[in-house]
Amino acid sequence: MIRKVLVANRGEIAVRILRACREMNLATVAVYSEPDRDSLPVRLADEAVCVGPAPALESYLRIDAILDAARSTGADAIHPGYGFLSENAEFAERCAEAGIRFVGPKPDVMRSMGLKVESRDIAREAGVPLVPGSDGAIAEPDAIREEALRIGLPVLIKASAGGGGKGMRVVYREKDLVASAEAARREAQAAFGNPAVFVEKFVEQPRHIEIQILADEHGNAVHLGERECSIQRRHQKILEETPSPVVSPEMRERMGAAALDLVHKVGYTSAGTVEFLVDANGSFYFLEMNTRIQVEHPISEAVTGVDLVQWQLRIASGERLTLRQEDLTPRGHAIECRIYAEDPANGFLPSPGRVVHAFEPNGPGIRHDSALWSGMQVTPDYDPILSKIVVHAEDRKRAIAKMRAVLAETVVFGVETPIRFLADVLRHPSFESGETTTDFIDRHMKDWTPGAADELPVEVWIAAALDRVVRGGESGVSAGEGAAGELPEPWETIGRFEIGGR
Amino acid sequence: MAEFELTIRGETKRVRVEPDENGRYRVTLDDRMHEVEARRTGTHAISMLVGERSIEARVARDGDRRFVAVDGHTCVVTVPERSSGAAAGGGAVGDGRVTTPMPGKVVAVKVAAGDVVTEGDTLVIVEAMKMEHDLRAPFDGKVAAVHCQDGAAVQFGDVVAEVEPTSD
Repeated sequence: MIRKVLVANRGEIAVRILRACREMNLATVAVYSEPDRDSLPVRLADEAVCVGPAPALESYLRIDAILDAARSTGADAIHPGYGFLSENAEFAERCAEAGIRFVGPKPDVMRSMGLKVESRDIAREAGVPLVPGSDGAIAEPDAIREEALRIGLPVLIKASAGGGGKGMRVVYREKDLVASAEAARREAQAAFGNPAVFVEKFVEQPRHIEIQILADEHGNAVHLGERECSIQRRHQKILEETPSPVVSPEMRERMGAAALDLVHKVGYTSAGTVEFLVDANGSFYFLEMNTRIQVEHPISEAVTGVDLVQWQLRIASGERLTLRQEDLTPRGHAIECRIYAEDPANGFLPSPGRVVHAFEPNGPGIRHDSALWSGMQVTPDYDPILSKIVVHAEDRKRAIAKMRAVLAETVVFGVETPIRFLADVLRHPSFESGETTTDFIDRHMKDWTPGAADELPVEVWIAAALDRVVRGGESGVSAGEGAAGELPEPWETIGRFEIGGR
Repeated sequence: MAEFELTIRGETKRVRVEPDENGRYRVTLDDRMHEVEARRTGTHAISMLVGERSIEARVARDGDRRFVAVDGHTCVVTVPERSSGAAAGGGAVGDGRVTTPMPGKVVAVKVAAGDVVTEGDTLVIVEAMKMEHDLRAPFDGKVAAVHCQDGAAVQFGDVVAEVEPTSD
C-alpha cells in the first residue's frame, strides 16, 4: 500500500497528480524550485520541499535532492509525471534501492523501450508492424532497385551513416530509382565517407496515432483506444483528439492488439503509450513507446471514463486491473488544446512573463488541467505549458463546436498563447473534414497571424475606451471569479492615462 | 468627457468617451459614434449593451499595458507615445512615475532623491534577458523618490522612481 506520494514534477501535471492523490486519500508532497514557491502544486500539496534553484538540472532533475525530500517527508512513492525524470531508468532504480515505489514501469523495461533500436527489435519480435525497409545496408544500385520494388514506392533512400538529410532521396517513380540510388550513394560517400544506403518505405502525409495502455503487475493489460496527435508544431503536439477520424472499430482492435502484444512481450506495467505512424491506406507502423503518463491522457479518460493517473497509483501499490477490454469502447468524442505561453505568430517562440489575469470558462463536458493563476510568473526555465483544455461531446462535430466556444471565452492576459490560433485550426475546412496529417500546420497555418487591427470587432475598441472611464456598476464589483488568486486590479485608482470622466 | 488615443495591433484611433445618464456612454472612434450602456461587472470584466447586443469584455492592466478580450480576440492596448504625457482632453502632464516596461533586475541606480534631472536623463538601468534598458526622466524636474536599489528584481510596471516637475 502507498500512503504518501511525492510528485516529482511541476505545473499542470503536478496539479493533476496531486488532485488524484487527494481523491484517493493519499498524503502528498510537492517538490519545487525556488521560483515555483508560489505555484499551484506547492499550494495544493500537504507538504512541500524546495529542491534547488530555477534551472531544471539543479532542481527537478536532481535525483539526490528528490530522494532526500522523499526520505525527509516519509513519502513511500514517487510519481514522476511526464518530462523531467519520468523516463529516466536510473531514477527508477534509485527509487527502488531507497525502498520507494516509482509510479511507472520497471527500470529494465524502461531502459529497453527507451532505446530506438532495441525497442524496434522488440517490436519486430512481438510481431508489431514496423515501417518496411531493408534490414541492412545495400551497396549495389540494382539491389537497391529490387529492394525498393519489394517494399513498394514511394521509398526513402537513406545513407546508413546519415543524418541531416544528406544522402537522402525520396523516390516516387520506378525509372528514377537507379539514378537516385547512385546520387544518394555519392552524397553519402562525400558526406560520411561511406556509400552504404538503406531503403525504407516513405510514408506520405502520415498521421501520428497512439494507443493508450494500462498493465498491472499480475499480467493483466488493456488498451484504451487511440489518440490522434497529428496536429503538431515544431514536432510537438498542440491539439489531440479521440477517436481518430480515420480509425474504425476494427482498426482500433488491430492497433490495440499490436500494442498489447508489445506490452506482454516486455512485461510492461503501469500506464504507457505505443506510438504509430499511420499512412493514407490505414496501415500502421510502430514508432516508439512512451513509458509514462502523457500530456494528452485526459482525452482518453474523457471517452472511456477511466482515471489513468489513479490507475497508475493503484497499479504501483500492487492492485489488480479490474477493467475489462469489452467495457472500454469509446463514448463520444474528446479534444484537447494545449495552452502554451508561446507566440504562434512568431515561430511558436516561448513567451515568458507574468500572467496578469486568466479566465477559464466552465460548463458540461469542459475540463481544465491547469496550473494557471492570475499573477503567476512564467519563467523561461521550463516547458511553457500553462494548461490543457479538454472537451467531451457526443460526436466530433459537437466537440469541435464546444472547443471553439470554450476558446472564445478563455482569457490569458500577459503572455502570448495559441488560443486564437487553435480556434482557427478548429475552423479550418481540412480540420473539420478530418484531414489531420502531421504536416497540417505547415500546410495550412504557416503564415498565420492573429489578424490586423481593422479585422477586430469594433467592441474591442469600445471596451478598450470604456476601460479607462467606466466605474463600478450598481451591482457592485466582485473580485474572485474564474481563476484563483485575482490580482487587485487598480481600475479604481486613476492611473497615468486615465483621463477623468465627468 | 474624456478624449485620448489608443493603439491596438499597430493601429491608433482617436477616441472620445462622453458619459450620459444611467451608465450610458457615447463612444466616438475616429468619426463613428457608438451608444453603449456599460458597467463594471467584476474586477476584470465590463458588461456592454450595444443596442440589444450584450458583450462581456475582459480587461486587465499591468503597468502601462492594458489588455482587452472580446469574444476570443485578445489584444494589448497601449497609448501612443505622444499622447502619454500631455494627453489630449485633460492637458495634464504624466504623473512622473517611472515604471519598468518588463520584468528584470536593476543593474544601476543613477540618481538619488533630490537630484535635479532633465528630460531624458537615465534614472535607473534595468536588465532583462541580457539586455539593458535605460529608464529615463519623463520631463525636467527633481527626483522625488527612488523606489529600487541595485540588484533588486522588478516586475512589469513597478514604479522605480518618481520625478516631480520643477515648479515655476
